[in-house]
Amino acid sequence: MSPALLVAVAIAAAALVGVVRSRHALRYRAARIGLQLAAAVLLYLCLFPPSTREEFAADELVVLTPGATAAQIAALPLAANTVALPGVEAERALERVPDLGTALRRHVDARRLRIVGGGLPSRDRDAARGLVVAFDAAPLPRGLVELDLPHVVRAGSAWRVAGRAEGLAGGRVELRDPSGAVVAAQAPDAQGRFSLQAVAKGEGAASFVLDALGADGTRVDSMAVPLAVQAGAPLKILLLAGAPDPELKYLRRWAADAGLALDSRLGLSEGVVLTEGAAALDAEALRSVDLAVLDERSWNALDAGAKQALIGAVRDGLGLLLRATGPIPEPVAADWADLGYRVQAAAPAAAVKLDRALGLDEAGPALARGALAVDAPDAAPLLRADDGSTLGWSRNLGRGRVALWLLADSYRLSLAGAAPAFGTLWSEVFANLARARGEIPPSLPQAARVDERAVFCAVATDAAVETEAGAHSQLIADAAGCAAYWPDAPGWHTLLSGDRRWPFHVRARDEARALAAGETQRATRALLVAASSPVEPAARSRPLPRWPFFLAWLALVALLWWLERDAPGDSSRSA
Amino acid sequence: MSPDPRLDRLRSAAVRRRLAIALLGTAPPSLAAVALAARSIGTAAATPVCLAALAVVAAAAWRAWRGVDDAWLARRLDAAEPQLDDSSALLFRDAAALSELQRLQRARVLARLAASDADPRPAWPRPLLLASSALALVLSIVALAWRPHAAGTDTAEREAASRGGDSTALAQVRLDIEAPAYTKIAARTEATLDAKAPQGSRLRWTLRFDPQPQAATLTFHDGSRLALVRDGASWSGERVLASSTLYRIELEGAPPPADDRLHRLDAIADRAPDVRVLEPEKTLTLLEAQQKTWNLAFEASDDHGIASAELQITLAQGGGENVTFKEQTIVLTPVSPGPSSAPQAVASAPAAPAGSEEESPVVARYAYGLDLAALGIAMGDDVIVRLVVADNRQPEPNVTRSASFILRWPAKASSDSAGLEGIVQKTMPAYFRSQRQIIIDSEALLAEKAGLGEDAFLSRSDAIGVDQKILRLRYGQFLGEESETHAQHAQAEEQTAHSAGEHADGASQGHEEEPAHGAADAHDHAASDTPAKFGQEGDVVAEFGHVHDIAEAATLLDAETKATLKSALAEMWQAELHLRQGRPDEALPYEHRALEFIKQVQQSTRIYLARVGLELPPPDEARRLSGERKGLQDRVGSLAAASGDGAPIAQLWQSLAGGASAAGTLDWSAAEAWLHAHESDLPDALAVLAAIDRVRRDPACLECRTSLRDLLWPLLPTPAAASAPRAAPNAAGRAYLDALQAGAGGGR
Repeated sequence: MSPALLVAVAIAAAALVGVVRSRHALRYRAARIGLQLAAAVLLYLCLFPPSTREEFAADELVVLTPGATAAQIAALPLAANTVALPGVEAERALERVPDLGTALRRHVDARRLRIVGGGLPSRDRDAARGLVVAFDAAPLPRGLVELDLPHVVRAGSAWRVAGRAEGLAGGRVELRDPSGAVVAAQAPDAQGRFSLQAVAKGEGAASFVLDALGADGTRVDSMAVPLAVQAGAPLKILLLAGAPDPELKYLRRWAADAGLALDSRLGLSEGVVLTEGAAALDAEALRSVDLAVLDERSWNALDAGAKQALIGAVRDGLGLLLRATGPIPEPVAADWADLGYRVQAAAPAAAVKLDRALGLDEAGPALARGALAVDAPDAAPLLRADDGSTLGWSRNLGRGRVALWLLADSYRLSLAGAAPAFGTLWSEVFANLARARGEIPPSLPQAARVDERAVFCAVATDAAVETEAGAHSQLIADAAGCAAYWPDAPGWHTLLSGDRRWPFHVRARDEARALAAGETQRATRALLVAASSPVEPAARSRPLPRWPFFLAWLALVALLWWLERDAPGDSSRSA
Repeated sequence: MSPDPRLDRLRSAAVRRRLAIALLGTAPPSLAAVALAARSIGTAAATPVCLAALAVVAAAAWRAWRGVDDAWLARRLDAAEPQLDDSSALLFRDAAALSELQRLQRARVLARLAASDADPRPAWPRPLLLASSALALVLSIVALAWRPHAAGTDTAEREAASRGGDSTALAQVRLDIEAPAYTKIAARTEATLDAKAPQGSRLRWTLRFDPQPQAATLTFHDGSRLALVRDGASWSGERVLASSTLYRIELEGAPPPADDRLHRLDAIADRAPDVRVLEPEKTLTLLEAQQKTWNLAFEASDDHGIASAELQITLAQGGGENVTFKEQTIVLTPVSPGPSSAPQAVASAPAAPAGSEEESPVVARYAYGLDLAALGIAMGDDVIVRLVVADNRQPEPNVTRSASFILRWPAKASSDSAGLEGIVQKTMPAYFRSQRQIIIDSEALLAEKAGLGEDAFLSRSDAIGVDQKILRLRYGQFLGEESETHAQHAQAEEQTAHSAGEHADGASQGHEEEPAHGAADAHDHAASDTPAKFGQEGDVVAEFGHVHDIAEAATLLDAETKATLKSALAEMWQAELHLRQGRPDEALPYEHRALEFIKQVQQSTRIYLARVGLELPPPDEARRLSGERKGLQDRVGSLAAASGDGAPIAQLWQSLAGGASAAGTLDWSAAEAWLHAHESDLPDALAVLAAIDRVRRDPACLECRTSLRDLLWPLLPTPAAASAPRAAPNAAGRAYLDALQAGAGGGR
């Protein structure tokens, strides 16, 4: 006999007794009998509430992640398979799991995951790969939620920090240098995006600060912008030109200041040249050169042997930059067409702007694009002007690269006070084209945080991490050359490998929470895949909550008490 | 009042006892608590505690005193004496209002009371009193024992105590700052080693050390030292603060001071006075008609007081190359010092005495009405004024000069082109007035006609004609006309003159002499005596200066102006014709009309020069490089990298990041030498030097190193943007590129 039946019998018996006792009541007899019976039914329902059937997706697991709001949790279907990761605050009783892997082991039939809340922590992302079909993201906190920093910044070059600020309408974002001076400021656009530019100084690690200020000027968010500036390498450049011009003057000045080894031969007159270094054009000499820069006049003056040596060296890895500074003579055009650039005279030189391309704050000078039409189907653009026209192309030739350059007066940038922009433009072009002989740097963690796993890859076996206080920890690399490190102190750390040092920055645990939330959300979104199988519908019975029955029963019983109490008019029975 | 004096005695005895109990119970703990508070948190801060204690005692006493009333006494008596039959309350009631029986009982009670020795006083509450005195005792002991534990004493002192004998404590620090007398800032005393003081202040240190050193010296960051002189237990020394500096106390025969960082003295430089010109509002004022005086008003302000103000007045007379200057200087006295002339609010500086404030006000206004008539200004003259204000700095005052303000009496024919120089050029240079000169000359010649011979008259008329021709040619150049020489065309002109002579009709006689001409007749004979030479000079200019139609010259003027100028030239032709023929009277109307046209041109036209770039014609390849090429040879360039100023700073900044281990090997001296060399250029070199000193003394201090790096950041040079090769492709990448090339080669 089931307990429910026993209880039902007992309640029925009690109700029967009540009905019998109420049979002779002088007043409200019918009401009292009815109430007795109703109270008995409600008491039974309170003890054994009836169940409902709810439809749910049998193969879907709802995962509540930290940051899930009360509204999100309340909106969840009750029947769904729901688990809560650590850190979820909910009033409802939920199945708590220590991590997603555990949850998947407990719910072996889960084929798809619906993520609700801030997003999956990095620990659970691998377990969720390929399973996430929906992400119901919690709103991001106010502040800087996205940050985009260049991986490598060379000394003296202009660098840009971009990102997105949440809830900063009418406010502004300020970049401060380590001494606290504001070097760039911008009001975020409608999406909250911003992009600030500053100029790096010498080699070394420096912490800039990014402040998000609200419309009323109060600081909403603030975070360190770690910048590890690396020194450059002395590229060996061979510069040949038919005649000196201002572009060459500023280019040579920049090359000398930037520490490049520059050999040059500039024609001054017929048979008269201005030389620096050896500037020889034989195969032996070209083997040590990283990049050769020629214009159409110097190309025209080359003899066949020199051209052969040059192209051979390019196939072997040399970079070749062809500057078109004027009309291209027919034989030169033919040679260059062999190199992949079909060049024709076209409309007159057009004025182009590079303000956006170079991120200039103030309007920069108008520059001239050579009056040429270039047909280079397999070349990648090297530089685009603000109006979208291409000013330079590069394409692979053997192991080297050949580039065509139409911008003849970039020196105006230098004259207009944008010397860092000029240097950065040319340093990037040279880095792009020069002989590939740099080493592959180890990949450093970009968003390391205290007590979170930071991963290094391409590290040597002797790699170690040095903290700011001078403590060393040896890294143990796996077969793929990757190693992990758990930082326990914020600030600059150094990856030591051989005699090389690579600084990287570790954020404090509580620093830039908005950024962490944004990163978690983006990483979770990146896990989203299209559902591979149709939803498996299922139904589940769920007991109704007891408290409405209990309250109703209590109300009835109270009413009964009122009716059955020893009322003054009912004294005949008590007497 | 009770009916029996005995009751009153009993009552007052009870009150006294209760008061005594209350006071004995509360006063000792309260006193002890006040003493403890005074010892622990200071006498001043203990005042609230004292008041609270007083309140507690007073409340207890009040309660004891108020608690004794008739009912209480009756209760006590009943309790103390059973014989009273619990009827003591009757004693306090009015006998008249009692019943017979009550009166009887009352009498009995009274009698028994007299017989008994009932005592209504409460007994001494021994445990309570014992507890309160014990509490008082404990509090007193704690108060007495407070000092050794010293929770409120100085942290530095505690550190010193914990370190034992490692460092010397500064038992007393006194820095007397006596600002220079002229600043009128009262001397003040600081109890710190860092201070800000006006430049030139006399600083006097009085220090007391514990333990006593054998010698004490202040070492300044520029290398100078100041030995302190011992005077009893204290050490003192004096120095004049010439510039901001850092210093440290060095002791001999004692451990170094506990606070061993560099201390900073900031010298506040005396600012030069500010001059604000209230009137005139513009730099250039034009003289108004009937203006007799020129009102000037200035306001000068200074941080410590203004010593003197002078108005420099320059009168520039004349025009062209013949300008004479007259200068004079007037010493101004301030008028009605402004409301803000209160003594400057330097911290803790008391108000300067009223007398001295008048002598050198901090803010002073000056007003001066310049009497133009007395100055002797005439039309075309400029008056230039400038206020020179000196403050009372010693030994040399700071002097500020205001901008120059010009009052111009415009010359009559001048037209306003201020502010447009460079863009706008007047069409006509000054010699265009010559047309008027020609008219004047012609009129003068006509007036003298009676006294002259015919030949003389003709030659003078001809000379004026030559002048007219030169003028015409000059105008012609503006129109791009062909130049001509006097000699070539003289004949032709004379020939045409005869045929055109009839044009000079009688209408021209209507022109009257211009009244304004009376002013100048300077031209007359000097010009007319040597007409041929003058003309020849003009010819030379015409011959060599300008050739055929110059495109630029022809496009200088718009079509309308050209038409007007052409009309003027036509009139000049006619005037010249008649002058050459010796008929100046017939030439006069043409001259007048030419003048009118020229004036129209002058008034209507400015030349706007288009801003055009330099567009070079394409080189002629056939002629290129065909010149003399002897001795030409290759040149070797000498491109040197920019010398890196600030390299020591950059090096220090880099090596500071190298972990604590590297700190010992840093090259401080180069950076410090660089900082000393550039101290005056840097905004705050002292802060950097102080930070360097901190790191040097405590290499392990991470925060010190970070703050030093941040301070060094603005000093770092920005190098040229560096470049680096891209990473070499790995084996797979190389193979891919090679395969691409092979495929491309195969495809061709």
